[in-house]
Amino acid sequence: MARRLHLARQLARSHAALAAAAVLALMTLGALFAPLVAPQRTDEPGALHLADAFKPPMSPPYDRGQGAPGVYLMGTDDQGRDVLSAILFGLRVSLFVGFSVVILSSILGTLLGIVSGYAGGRVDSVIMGIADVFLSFPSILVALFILSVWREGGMERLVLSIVSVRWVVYARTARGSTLAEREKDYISAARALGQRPVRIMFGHILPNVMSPLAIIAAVEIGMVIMLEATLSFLGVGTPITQPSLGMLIKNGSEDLLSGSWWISLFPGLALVMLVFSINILVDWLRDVLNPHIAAAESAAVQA
Amino acid sequence: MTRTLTILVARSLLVLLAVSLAVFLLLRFAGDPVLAVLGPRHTRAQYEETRHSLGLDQPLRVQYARFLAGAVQGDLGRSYHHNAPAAGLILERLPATVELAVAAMLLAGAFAFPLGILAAVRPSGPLARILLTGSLLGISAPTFFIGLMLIFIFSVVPHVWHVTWLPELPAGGRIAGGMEVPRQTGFLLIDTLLAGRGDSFLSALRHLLMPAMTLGFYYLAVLMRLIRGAMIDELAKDYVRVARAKGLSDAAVTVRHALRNALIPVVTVMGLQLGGLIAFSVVTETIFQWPGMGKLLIDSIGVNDQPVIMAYLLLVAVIFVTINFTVDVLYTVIDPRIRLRS
Repeated sequence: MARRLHLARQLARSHAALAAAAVLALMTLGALFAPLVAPQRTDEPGALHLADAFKPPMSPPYDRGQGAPGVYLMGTDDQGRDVLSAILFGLRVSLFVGFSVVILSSILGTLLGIVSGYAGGRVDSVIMGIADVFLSFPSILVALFILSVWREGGMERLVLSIVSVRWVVYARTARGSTLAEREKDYISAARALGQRPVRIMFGHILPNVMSPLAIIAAVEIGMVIMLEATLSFLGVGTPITQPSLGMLIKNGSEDLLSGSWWISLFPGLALVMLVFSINILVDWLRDVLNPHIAAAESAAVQA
Repeated sequence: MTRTLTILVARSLLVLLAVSLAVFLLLRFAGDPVLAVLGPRHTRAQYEETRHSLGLDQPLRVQYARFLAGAVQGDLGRSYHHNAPAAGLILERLPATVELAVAAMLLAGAFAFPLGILAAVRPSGPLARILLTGSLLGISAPTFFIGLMLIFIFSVVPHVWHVTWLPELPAGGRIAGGMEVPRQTGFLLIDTLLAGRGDSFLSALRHLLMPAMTLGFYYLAVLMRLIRGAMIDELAKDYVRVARAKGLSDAAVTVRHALRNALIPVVTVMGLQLGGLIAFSVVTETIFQWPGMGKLLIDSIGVNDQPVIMAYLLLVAVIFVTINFTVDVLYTVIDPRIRLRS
């Protein structure tokens, strides 16, 4: 509790981090409640008016009937879709992919990393050998190949493809920490007491290797959202029915050359703002947590 | 030294072998290769005959051995879409991609060094803070969005709204129509010079500018942070204090002493990043219709041209493994204290 209060006080002191947290909270809320707050239900095809296609920002709709927004704040795309609403629904998709990938890949990577580090020997060689192959290539290429082979499917296809390239980051760190932890006295004691390996790995080692993994997970959120946006921009990402920010930018990029700048510019700015505020917060969090981690580690060494 | 080299070679070969096995299995089991050759209309007998002629009725081990033997000799299969050897298609486009990657790296380096040094001299001054925030913004902006914004500023705005004070740059291709020169090296900047065509050279340069800026932007941000970090480390060392005590000027200490030592880690990372530039050229080439191997990959994914996709993976694997190997070897040569764990 005291720790949480301390964090809140630190946050209030850093203007940049506070602003980033506010932007992030606003965007997350907007995404969560998109069906309620969006001026137009862009997820329902019936809500669109083709007569409203390519309206520049701040133009009124053609038909002021039921369900039409008062004004197209950020303009409309080639189908008459309100860009602001599309961004809110797109944020939902981007955030959903970002968080599900980070949750799944951190669980998978931590599991494999701890097993690899604790078991050692052949198990370690196989798991780390696979990780080495993945780490030899940039994620974007490996994800592209997986998606080029696994062509059919919805959101799970995208999420699992990114998970399969990002678990290695956690696995390497978890393995390294486990190797250091394994040699400590409390583990020997647990082993002498006859505890089963599963209990030692996940009851004793896991809680002690969590801190660096938590920071990696925080960094990964922004990273994964960018990776997803890039894959969607290249046309192999989210399904057409659930466009993420990356796909909105791709769709708008075709109209950019004819001067309809708002269709891709606003989703792009939303994406940059999202990732930028996540990165500012992570930078700040690392600075604030680092002295604690360092202090905790030196205390452990002295003990 | 010999032992270290043996381990490094063995590890590189192991990675390549793993990739080749993955590629082979994917090619073999993602879709039926017989159908890819025959199309949907065929008789049972035709199917069996093609299956036999492709060697698909052999045991899997034999098939993999044949695939490997072909790959080593440069035979990576034929493109369904172009009806040409896949390896040739990719190698033909390699110079365009390398030209782009090298230009991006030079551009990023040209800005990253002065900015990184400036941000290191007074690490918490206002200039350093502006530069650091700017680089964080640069890291947060995806490559494709940077590219679109550049196109908007330098192609759309001058053209659509007739803004004359902005320089107008071409948003696609490698050279203007009618300016083409005969292909010799595949590197257009070199080919135009060899042909003695100054106008073509300028056109190629103008076409290269925006894609290189797009590809280099992220690396500018990353490199700048790296240079700043390395410089701060060096500037805190004793020899810098000695040099200052001797009465050397700030500029001399910074550039002639600290920078020279900071270069070692920076140049290593720049070398390693060359692989990343080739990977991200996929995105840049798609935006700017740049006829390199990255665009070929995306086009091939679009029409499900599997031999080309897999050939690209294998060739890129060779490039990456070579880069990693070279860096590892250089490390052990530069610093003999670095020994590999067995």
